Amino acid sequence: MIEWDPNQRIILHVDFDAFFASVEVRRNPDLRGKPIIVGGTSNRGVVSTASYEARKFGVHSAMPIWQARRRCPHGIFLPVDGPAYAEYSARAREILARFSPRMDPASIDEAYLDVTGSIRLFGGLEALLARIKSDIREELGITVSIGCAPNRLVAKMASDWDKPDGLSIVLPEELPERLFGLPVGVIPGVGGVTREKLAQMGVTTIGQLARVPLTLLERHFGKHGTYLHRAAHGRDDGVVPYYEPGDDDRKQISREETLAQDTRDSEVLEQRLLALSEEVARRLRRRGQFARTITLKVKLSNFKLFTRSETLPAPTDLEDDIFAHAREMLAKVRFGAQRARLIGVGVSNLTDEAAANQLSLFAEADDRREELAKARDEVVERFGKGAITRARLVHEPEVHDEDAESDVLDDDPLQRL
Amino acid sequence: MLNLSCPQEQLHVSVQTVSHGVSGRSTQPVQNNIYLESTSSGMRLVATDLEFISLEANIPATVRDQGAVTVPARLLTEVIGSLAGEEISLEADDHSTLRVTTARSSFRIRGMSAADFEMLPPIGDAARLEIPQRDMHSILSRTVFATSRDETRPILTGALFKIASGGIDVVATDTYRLALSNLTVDTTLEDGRSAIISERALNEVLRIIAADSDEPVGMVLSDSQVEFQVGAVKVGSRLIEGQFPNYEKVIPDDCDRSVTVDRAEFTNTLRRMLIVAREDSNRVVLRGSEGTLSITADSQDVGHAEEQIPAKLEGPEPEIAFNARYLLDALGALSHDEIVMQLSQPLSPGILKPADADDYTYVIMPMQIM
Repeated sequence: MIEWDPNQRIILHVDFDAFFASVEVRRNPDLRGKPIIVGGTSNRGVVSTASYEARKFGVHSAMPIWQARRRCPHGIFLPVDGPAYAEYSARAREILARFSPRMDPASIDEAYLDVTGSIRLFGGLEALLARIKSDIREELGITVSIGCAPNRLVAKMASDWDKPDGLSIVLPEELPERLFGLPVGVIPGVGGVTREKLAQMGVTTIGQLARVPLTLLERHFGKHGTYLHRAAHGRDDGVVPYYEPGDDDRKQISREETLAQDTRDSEVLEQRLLALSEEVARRLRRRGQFARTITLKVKLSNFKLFTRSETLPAPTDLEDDIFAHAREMLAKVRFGAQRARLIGVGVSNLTDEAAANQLSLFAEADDRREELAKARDEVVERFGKGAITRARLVHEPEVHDEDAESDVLDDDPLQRL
Repeated sequence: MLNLSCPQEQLHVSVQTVSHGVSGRSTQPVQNNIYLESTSSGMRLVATDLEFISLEANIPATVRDQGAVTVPARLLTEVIGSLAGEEISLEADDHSTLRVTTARSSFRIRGMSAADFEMLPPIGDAARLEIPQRDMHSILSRTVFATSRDETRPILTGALFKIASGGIDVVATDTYRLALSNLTVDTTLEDGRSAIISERALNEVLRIIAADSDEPVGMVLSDSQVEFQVGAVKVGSRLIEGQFPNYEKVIPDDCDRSVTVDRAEFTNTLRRMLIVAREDSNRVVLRGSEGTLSITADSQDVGHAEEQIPAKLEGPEPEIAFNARYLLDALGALSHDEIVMQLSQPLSPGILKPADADDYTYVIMPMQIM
């Protein structure tokens, strides 16, 4: 059982092995064990991902396809199927999110997790790590390599040491010495130019880099020098933010839900909309952002999708504002003979400050609304979503659709047996 | 059973007017219909959302039998509109079907029973006053546009009417700007009264009154409802309940500089600036110096626009950014040749008003200068 210094965080970097190629194998098991090169079938593209079998022939990502063909003439060349990889990536995130609320999907084929608070839930660090690997393997049919360290930077380096399907753990007390023997090129962000410059200074290993005075590094590399110094000592303060589906990038946040039962009852729809608006607003406040554009999404019973957006005069991070506009847009939805099966609200056009902004005549009232919202957030952070809510959200309103009853029967699983 | 006939033209106008009372959002389908009734003296048409709008028209008709029916508003409007120039006969049967016939055409419109149709309660113990249409038009057209669309703050979706014996103040604000219009008139009301009236009802009143008419608008005000009477049309609404914000407090009294410009010129300039400004929250920056007001708009994505117009400046040189649309809203509601802006610091509210009149004050909050 690993004893982790309780004053140190436990950060994982989970790297999906040869991700695009692994997804292709999963979708077509006949490809298993074969050299697969994803990146296009024409000779003009470059390799996105090569399976480990193809790597044996010297094929690697970013290599021109024509060159890969020369090195691996019997390789299987496949076009890039972006939507399929995005789908697998999203499912992998869902799995990872089970292990910690702090999860940062850094790109389509990797993610960071802060599991400091969750190892006890899974019976220790080793058990948790094994569980991540087995869950992803069983549910998605792909393997991952995990780096485990006290910070993001070292975790990222460590995930590369043992691939594929690997696991590398760097204990807090092993830093920084554990890194010293490695070449400087393994530090994320150290490419050819930096490596060349360092080599001219007689620095090729991280250990040598760690002995170069900070002032000298800063003179040669400016701000990047500060980073190199810290990296060489295995230091990194980056935090893993809370993850919630619907905000995979910094440009938009959205929440949606499929209704328990199709309806066009405005009571029900508005109540769900208010709950979703609250979540979106809370997320905005947690990120310290404000939104100018609000989007309503309604999927009708016939799967027709209705979306509408509105841009506000001043950006907001308050559910009242988001809800008010979403509700107005909801009133304009033409249901016809249809009902809603899914409802969602999103915000975009995000700014980091409300300052870009139109000032208000009654600023005091707005400040009070802001304070109230923040106080509610604190309660939710500490005691969970159920701890405080709006009166309107306490009771599920009854569904008033004319033919709601027959609907219930249609949806009753017992009826289908 | 309803049975009457009347000329198409008058019926068409009334149906069109009244159909604005249908919200289309009502949970009771019958409220999406127009209520038609033949009375001893003619025909009565009503549509209402039972909340913030109720429209009623009364027109003369040749009545053969008394009764009532309700029919879908849009359909009726379309049918009546298509029968130009003819005498129209309306006849309901006991299945709530309305027969619309002329010498040549015949329609049968399926309606719903009038018995289920609800209306606002009759306006009770009420104060009453009369104002010429041109005055009502002036105070409403200068204020109603500033009401808020934010339904989570219902109070701001209406305009405050403050009626005293010597005049009426109408105030509307969406928290970014505030419009205040006063009318000096003998209201014959001894006690003052205040009411917050929904933008929906006020916009309907604006639609049916004429800007240049001396004919009166009757205004009847109870504790919970209002009714405007314009000729044979009545516009009713429930009042919005609650406390209107303390608007007097936000009207600045410390403006130390002023800019007087030609209204038409300023309007045209702002419209041009808006081509660029609309890409950046409609932000325009105003800077005054040596007899000129310079107006600029910048957008990172689009580019830059700039224009100078002659201005009469008093006090320190102003520099301030506003939402151009908010300025244009007020400029468009005024007809005066010159307007004056009274300003102070870049982040303090400014006032826009006619240069030679004191009956209108438009307070506008600035935007940050980027």
